[in-house]
Amino acid sequence: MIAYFGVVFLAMAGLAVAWQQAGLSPDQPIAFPHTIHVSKLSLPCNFCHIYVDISRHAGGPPVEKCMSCHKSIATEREEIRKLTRYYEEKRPIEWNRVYSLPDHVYFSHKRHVKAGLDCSECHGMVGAMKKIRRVGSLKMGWCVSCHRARGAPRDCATCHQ
Amino acid sequence: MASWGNLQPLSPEFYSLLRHGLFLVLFLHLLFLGFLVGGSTVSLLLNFLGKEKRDPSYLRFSQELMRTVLISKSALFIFGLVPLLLVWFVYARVLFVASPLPWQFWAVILAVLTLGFVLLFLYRQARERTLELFPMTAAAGAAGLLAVILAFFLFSAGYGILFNPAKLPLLQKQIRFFLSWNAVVKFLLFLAFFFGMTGGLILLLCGRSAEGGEGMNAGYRGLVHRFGANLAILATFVLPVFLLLDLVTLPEIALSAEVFVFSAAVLLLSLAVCLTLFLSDGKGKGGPGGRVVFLFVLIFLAILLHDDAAVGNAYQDRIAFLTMQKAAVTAEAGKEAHREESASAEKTETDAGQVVFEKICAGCHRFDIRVVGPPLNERVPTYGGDVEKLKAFIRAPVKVNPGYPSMPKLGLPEEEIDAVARYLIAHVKEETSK
Amino acid sequence: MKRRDFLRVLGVLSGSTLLSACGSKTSKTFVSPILPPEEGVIPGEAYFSPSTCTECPAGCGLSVKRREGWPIKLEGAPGHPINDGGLCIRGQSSLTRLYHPERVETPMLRNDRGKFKAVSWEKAFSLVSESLAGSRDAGRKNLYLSGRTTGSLSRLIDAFCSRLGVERLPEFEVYSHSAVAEANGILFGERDVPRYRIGKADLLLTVGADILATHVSPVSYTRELSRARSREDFRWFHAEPHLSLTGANADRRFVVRPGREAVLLAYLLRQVLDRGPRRSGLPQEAVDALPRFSVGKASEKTGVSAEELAELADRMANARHPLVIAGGVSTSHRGGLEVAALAGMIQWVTGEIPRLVDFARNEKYGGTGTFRDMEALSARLSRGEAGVLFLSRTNPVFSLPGGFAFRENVRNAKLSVAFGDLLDETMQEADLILPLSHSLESWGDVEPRRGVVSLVKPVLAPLYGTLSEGDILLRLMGAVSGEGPATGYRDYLFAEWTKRFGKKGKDAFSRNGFVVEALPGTRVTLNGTKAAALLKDATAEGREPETPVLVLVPSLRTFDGRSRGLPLLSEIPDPLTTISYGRWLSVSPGTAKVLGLKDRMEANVSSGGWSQVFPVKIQPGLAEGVFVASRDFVDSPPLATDGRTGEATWFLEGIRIGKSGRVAAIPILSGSPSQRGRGLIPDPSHRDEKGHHGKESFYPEHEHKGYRWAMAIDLALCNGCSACVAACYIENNVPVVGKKDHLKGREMSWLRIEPFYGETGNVDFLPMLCQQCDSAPCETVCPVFAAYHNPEGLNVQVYNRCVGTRYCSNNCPYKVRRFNWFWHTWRKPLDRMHNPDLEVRGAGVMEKCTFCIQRIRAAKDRAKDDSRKVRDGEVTTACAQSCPTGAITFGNLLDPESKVYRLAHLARAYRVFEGLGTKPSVYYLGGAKGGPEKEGHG
Repeated sequence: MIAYFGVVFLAMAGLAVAWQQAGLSPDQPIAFPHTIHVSKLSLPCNFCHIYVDISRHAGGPPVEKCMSCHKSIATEREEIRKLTRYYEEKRPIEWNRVYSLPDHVYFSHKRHVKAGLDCSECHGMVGAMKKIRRVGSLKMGWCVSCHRARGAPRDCATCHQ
Repeated sequence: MASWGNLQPLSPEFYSLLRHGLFLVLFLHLLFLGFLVGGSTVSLLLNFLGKEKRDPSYLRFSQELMRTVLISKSALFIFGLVPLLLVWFVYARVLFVASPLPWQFWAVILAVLTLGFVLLFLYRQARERTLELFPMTAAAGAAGLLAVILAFFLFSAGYGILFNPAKLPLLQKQIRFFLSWNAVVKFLLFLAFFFGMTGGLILLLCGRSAEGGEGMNAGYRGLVHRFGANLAILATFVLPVFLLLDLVTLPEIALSAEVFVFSAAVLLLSLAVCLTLFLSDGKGKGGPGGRVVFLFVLIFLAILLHDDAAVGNAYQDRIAFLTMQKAAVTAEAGKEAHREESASAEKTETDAGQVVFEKICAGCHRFDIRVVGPPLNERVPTYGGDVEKLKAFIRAPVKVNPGYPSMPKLGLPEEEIDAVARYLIAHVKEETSK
Repeated sequence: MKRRDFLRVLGVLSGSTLLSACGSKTSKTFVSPILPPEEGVIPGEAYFSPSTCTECPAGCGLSVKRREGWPIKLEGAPGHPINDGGLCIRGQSSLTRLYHPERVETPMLRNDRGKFKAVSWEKAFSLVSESLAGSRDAGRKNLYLSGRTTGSLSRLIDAFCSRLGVERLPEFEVYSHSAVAEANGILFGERDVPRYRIGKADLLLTVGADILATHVSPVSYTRELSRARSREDFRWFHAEPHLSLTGANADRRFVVRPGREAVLLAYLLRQVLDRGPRRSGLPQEAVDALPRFSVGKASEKTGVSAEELAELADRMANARHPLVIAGGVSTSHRGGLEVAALAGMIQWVTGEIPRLVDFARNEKYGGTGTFRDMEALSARLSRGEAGVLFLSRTNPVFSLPGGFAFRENVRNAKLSVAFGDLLDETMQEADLILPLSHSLESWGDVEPRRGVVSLVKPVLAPLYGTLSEGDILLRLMGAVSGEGPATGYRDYLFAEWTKRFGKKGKDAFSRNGFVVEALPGTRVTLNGTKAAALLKDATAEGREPETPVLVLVPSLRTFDGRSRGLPLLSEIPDPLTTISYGRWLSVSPGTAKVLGLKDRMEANVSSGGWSQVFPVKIQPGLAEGVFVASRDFVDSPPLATDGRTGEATWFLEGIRIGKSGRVAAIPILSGSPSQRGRGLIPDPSHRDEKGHHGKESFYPEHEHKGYRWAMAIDLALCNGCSACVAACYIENNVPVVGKKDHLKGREMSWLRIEPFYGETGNVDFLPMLCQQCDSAPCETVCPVFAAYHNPEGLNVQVYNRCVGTRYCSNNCPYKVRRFNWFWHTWRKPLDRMHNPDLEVRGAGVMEKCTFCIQRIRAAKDRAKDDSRKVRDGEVTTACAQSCPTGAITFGNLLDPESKVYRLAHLARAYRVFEGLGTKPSVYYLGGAKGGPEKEGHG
């Protein structure tokens, strides 16, 4: 009996470890808060993610765009100083991807945005996230259930490249 | 202004109220329902076994059980139906949707549950009258039990969607989105708990009544004790499996360290129940019933807290968003009050521009001093009142003065550009004319 | 410890190790750019920029496809004067040269122990400039030897040489066509290879010139041939001693005895003089000197039947614009000059100069040196005359006959400096190696034909510390003068172009990738005396190579051996033999029977002091006594040089062949050279066997909405060049599997060329790819539904669903499904070449052609942005895009206006194995090459 409960406890520990490793909300090189930029400053999503309606990829802002305001705004904060160092040393900022699809998936942001989807439908309330966390499982079932509900194509070749 | 799909935004306090209210309601309702389901199942089972073995003690046990479980019609109503009406109200408030599907779903649950209660009550009454039952009556009881279990399954499905807010918009389209693996697992988890708690309550409440002296012998007590203990132990073995499956099937956003801690607590408590029952076996005096029931209630609390934590995690962004919105609204209200002191009819149009200015431009611009960009009292007059020229600049800013950083392209919609441009020109005229 | 306890502990330990497998997945990162990309550049979109291919001297124009700044695919530039959108197998593969893992990355200097050590450019330059000065003092000559160089680089080399007192040697090309150039120089005073306008001829006679594969400008000729073949009245005859790809595709092929082409041409010239078409006369002395042959005598001497000769003469007489092209093997023997001269005279007499034979826009081989020049160089080297010897983009150590002793003599140079990108035999012998940037990493220009300037534009910054040749020369000049480089090569070029084209012209050049300059025409006249002198002994006996001969021919896949280093070109099989890896000797069926040789048996070939062992491949259509091997199979072959032209002969004469007794393992990928009556390519007897067995399928019919993709392949145009195969490899991330797997028959190419030899000696090439069957046998047997039929008519393979049962491949009657037996590694930086629109499949996954579904998806995406359907011609597959003949057409079968609809409904359209009821979507257009009315092969 003890052994049985021990095994179950180990399994639970394993699940906890797996959840930890799933990287739902990884630490980022600069603690960029979407709360301030999206909610307080009301920047639209495509102010930074400019390719979201013209390309497969949403893209991220070049560091120059960040500096266009942060050359003078909030420069006393440590995170802004980190950002400035990246810019001056011309070092690339390696953000840890939160929404990452495997290579065999073709996902086009352009098509989804043009279909009228709001960013929050897949990415959640980004404006409320101090640290971005993944709100969808990104598993195939998650995608297909929405396609099924909205009458989007369910042909395998639509997404499997 | 992002919304919750088609849902009516609530305030964070209201959401908090709903969540805690749900917790309380579930605590009362499910404990009652658990004993009801568990007890009725065992009762029917005893009925069947009694007929097979021709042992009247089984039948007596069955009778005693039904008496204990279904205290009265009013109890059924208060603990059985009223809580669900409350839950229905919660859903109605949270899921204010265009589609009637969620309403219909809950109506079906209530109807089936009522039917089940009625049938079970009839069975209890028949059970009360005689030891030997007509097969029809037992069948009716079984039907009632099945109806209750079915209603509970649908309830689990409805409960399950709380953990996956991403599904809320999809619920309007097809009813099938109510079902999920998590719902099935939660159903089974709670069923396991029901049987366990029934076992504990059997140990506690049955086999010791003052009335019904004949037949209340050691053999009968032993039967009761055996049934209760075995049921409880079986449940505690099965419970962890479903708990693990629950952790596996919960959507990732619902998980957090708290959820795992509460799950571990459930595990430990189940182990405690097991140990209690094993260690007290054969002692016979007093019985472990009270301890077991207490532990089961703690288990139930832990399960509900686990679920509550999961719901909290799933909704944390949405609630944070509401909180921020509320803060913004209060700030707006404050400013609104301040503004109304110096309001005039013509200013309504520039108010929209003022909103834009305060939200977007004020981060870098003031009228009288340099912040990031130049003081607007200097810049705006250079446009000579030409709204279109100013709008063009705001739409696509170019570097004018190398002494200031470049103004970023803000991607504002046309109406906002128009409003803020007019506001700026009007405001600056006012300032300079003062 | 008790056993049970031990087992218990073991169980827990192994259980807990499973937990350690829950490690973190390699999380991807997103890197923010520092600056935004240039205006209009969107990540995820492909951009095309013009450049020029430099894999062979033809100089075809490229349209380089870039994703996120990395070139991932090369396509022919549409509208380019050389290739007009087509690109050959070597051109497609030249992208792998850019990403080759073994490219030389830094300058390398040989140290005292003879090993190469990396040095810096500064050190290299200072060493060279010291040596340049030093050799002048020591009285040695500094020499510059390069491969054929045109355009601004050639002028810069001249400037470099004159400034630094370096002697510029004649350029060395293995295939310098010097016999043809010499003959034209003697006859017309224009020492060069003219531009042949095949597209305007109505009768083409090629004598030895392998115009489809290796002769001068193959893609250009192929394009023009396709155009010509679309005309009813066009006929093409080919005469050669062996079997080449060109001969396999001509309307009629004459097998001539080696060295006897002069007799054939002399006979023909006489016929033309007598019967026409005759627009100019030959001076009487030449007419008198022309040997006379009766048809019987000519037939006896050449080995071509009298009927064939008579027919050729008749055709010639009836032609309005005949064109004779002699070159290649037929001008590479001791009588080669005469063969070229006779061809020139026929061109003169028929009046097709300059209409079809244009010397104004010649192929710029006039300045190229010959083997004789290299022999002289080798002698100078042996005498110790050389100080600094520059060797740029040339491999004489490998290509020159052993008798020249170039390998030994080159060591006598005080400092030999080799420029190149992949280590070859010459670079191995050099003292200092200066690595060149690939053409996709450098600026430049190329003038492949006179009047055509083609742009070389960099697509990315050099991957390693390499420089372009222009930059090396400018910096060297700067190092010597001590002032530093006057300018970078790019600025030098821009200045040159602005001077030549004007500012606007330079911008247009940079945008379009080429300029066609207006040139005044060239009038030539025939020098009768010299013609007569040549004709006197034109057909003299004794000059022809003594049979049995081994002909060493240029290879479709490696040209003169320069492309050996690209593994993709070894992976794709030779179209005539379907051998991929290894060397082989082609033997005629008769000879093989006599000698008791079978495929793969080794034969020892010797001639004089030289001998080599080859595995044998029986080649139908080859004449007795003629053996063929690729030039690059033989290192430093003992070839003689013709004294008059300087051209090396391609023949090893009087060879002896014997069985060595061993059997070699070489992969021969085709199952059989014969169709065995299965009607893959219908000959008239099979054409009636259409229609299937009458049994209906019990699966419901597919409904096609919007699009139904189909392909039409015109077998009359396909010449087996395998450009489509190379394009498919690169477009679809198909791995190169290597020799071991090929020996097991596990080839990986999604598209293969199947050669079929008919009974009448004709060769047909069948490109076989997944037929996207409407009633696919593979779809029904997949247990996991990884192979399914999509609503647009494609048979889609979902790679990550596949579990590797391989039942689908088992069921496929066309055997076009490919299984990944291993995790194929792509050595860095070859993984940069991956097409990001398509996943790279792992082990255990079945893959196959899906009509470039990623291109279809991209086209539909673009069309959807404009709210319209995809137009015909807007999307095409990689194979169709690269095909130099335009044999492959791709489109929507539901659109009655589309080209593929029209082709699929022609009378000669058929589908392979139609009788099986698979209902393929690939329609083949049968009929003899050149059209339905043209006769079969002789």
